[in-house]
Amino acid sequence: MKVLVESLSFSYGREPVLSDVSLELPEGGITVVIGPSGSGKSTLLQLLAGLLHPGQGRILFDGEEVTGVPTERRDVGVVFQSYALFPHLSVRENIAFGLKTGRRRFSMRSSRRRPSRHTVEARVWDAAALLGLERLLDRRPSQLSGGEQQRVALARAVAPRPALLLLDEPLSALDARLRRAVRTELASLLRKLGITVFYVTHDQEEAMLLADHLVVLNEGRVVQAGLPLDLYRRPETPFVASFLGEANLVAVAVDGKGPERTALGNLVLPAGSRGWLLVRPEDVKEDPAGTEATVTDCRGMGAHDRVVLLLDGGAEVLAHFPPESAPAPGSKVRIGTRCRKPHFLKDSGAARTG
Amino acid sequence: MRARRVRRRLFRRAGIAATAALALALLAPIAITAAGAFSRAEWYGQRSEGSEVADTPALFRYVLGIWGGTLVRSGQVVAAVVPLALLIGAPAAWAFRRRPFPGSRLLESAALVPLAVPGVALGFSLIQAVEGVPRFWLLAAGHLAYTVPLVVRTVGNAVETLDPRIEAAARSLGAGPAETAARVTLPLLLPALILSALLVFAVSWGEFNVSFLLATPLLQTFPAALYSTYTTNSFPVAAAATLVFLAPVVPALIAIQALGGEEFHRGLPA
Repeated sequence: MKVLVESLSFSYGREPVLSDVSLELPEGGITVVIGPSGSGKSTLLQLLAGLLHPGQGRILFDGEEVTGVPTERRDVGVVFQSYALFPHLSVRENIAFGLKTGRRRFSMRSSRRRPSRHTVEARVWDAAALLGLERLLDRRPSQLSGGEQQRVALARAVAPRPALLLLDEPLSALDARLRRAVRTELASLLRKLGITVFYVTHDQEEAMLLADHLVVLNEGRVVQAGLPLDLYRRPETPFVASFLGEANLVAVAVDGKGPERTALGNLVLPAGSRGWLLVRPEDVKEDPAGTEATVTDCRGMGAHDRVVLLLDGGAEVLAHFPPESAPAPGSKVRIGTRCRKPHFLKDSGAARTG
Repeated sequence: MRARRVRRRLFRRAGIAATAALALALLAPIAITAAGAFSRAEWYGQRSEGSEVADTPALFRYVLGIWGGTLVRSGQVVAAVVPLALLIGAPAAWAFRRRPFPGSRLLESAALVPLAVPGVALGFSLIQAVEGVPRFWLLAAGHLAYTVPLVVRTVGNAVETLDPRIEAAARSLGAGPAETAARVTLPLLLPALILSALLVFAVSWGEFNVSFLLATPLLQTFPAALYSTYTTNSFPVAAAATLVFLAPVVPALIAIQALGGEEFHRGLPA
């Protein structure tokens, strides 16, 4: 199902939460919305689910307007951060819940009957098998670990085969190690399901791993949307640059033509503009012909060494050097960038940089 | 070091003694009442109609004979008040927590006010305010004023601890508001609902003030009859009547305790 959101606004009392949000969820793709807490990403999810209703704007599912349609007739599945399992029902009954409700879809075209008991059992079994829950079907939610509860929540949401699956920070209640493992499983599972997915997170790694389409939200507005790597490499604002991974932003004012002298060496920049150069830590390298800098801190992170450098001009630069190669703090190194044309963020004068 | 240990032991013993004294003070009247009902009237040095009743079964038969009607009346009142209090209080409690509106907190607190109004005043104002309402329903209304706040408070606290996303999940799975209430909200609130029902039962069964004021010769509840017994009959008769009164209350109180004294205490106004 293709989902279209048109200039959606929502406020709690006089407090605006979302202002003029427009976006498109590609059919069968995973759209990840990332933003800091309070950015309105969970509110956006609840509007899509029909748990909240917008003050302004429209939501269209496959071209049909569903803005005022209540949740139970939207054909969506929701996985909440707290899982919200039914504590009084067994895992089996939790998964079967959505198969036994008097669900009537908003659209006449896709309306369907309540499935037979046999079908319900088969579907519960399918969903349980998909998530490896076969042996837990008779347990109560309180008898499950966090990771198991998370899988039950997902099984319950996908069992009725919704057209749109909404996930609200589904992994944030898990501990770090489990989260890494589940993240990869979840990515392949969601791809396998092939349904339209709307996924809310504040975790950049999760976003990069899962997203086909990434939307950055800040203070209730869409700051930038596009392919995840595009957003990482070519952010339009310093906010996006620093929210998606670590970033060195070097302020520059360009007036002349040709290669420009910057704190990071001579670079080719668009003329006549003010803005920032984006240099990711992994793009900083040791360069005998480069700028001189003093190492102020060095931490071995395993995969790389995290080095903080102080340039002669007083600017601080973060670099990721190959593991176990970094010089000792206090020593001088010469550095340059991996590319001659780093991404340039033009200062449009807009204050919305976060 | 040693002095401290001795002091601690002393404190503990004092605590145990105080608790025992308190328990004795609370249980002694019941014990004396029970003794009064089961022993000879002469034991108390009293002679009245009680002494004409030779043995204990006869004593209870005598009590049921004169007050049986009021016992039935009390049963009828409780049978009306318990479901009505739940039907009014539980949806109100849910609405106060789930659909708060400006001033709903104030209104919820205001619902507790009847608890502080003397029963005599409430009963009198009920007579003054409504005309043409059968006395039985006036009596039920008086009981509701005291019991609905208990339901609102107990169920309200249970709603508070219920994650609203559980209800949202049910909606997203295709259950409408009625189906969500029947399959999710009510089952999850069941302990609180049973607890409130027991509380309402205990309060309504023992309510005296309003009942006494609204009572007519034909519409007397058992606690009002109990009062008459104590003022007119001999002690053994009154004691036997008290035990009849306590018979359904004690199991209810035990059930309340078993269901979670915790929830009961949280349910009371701070």
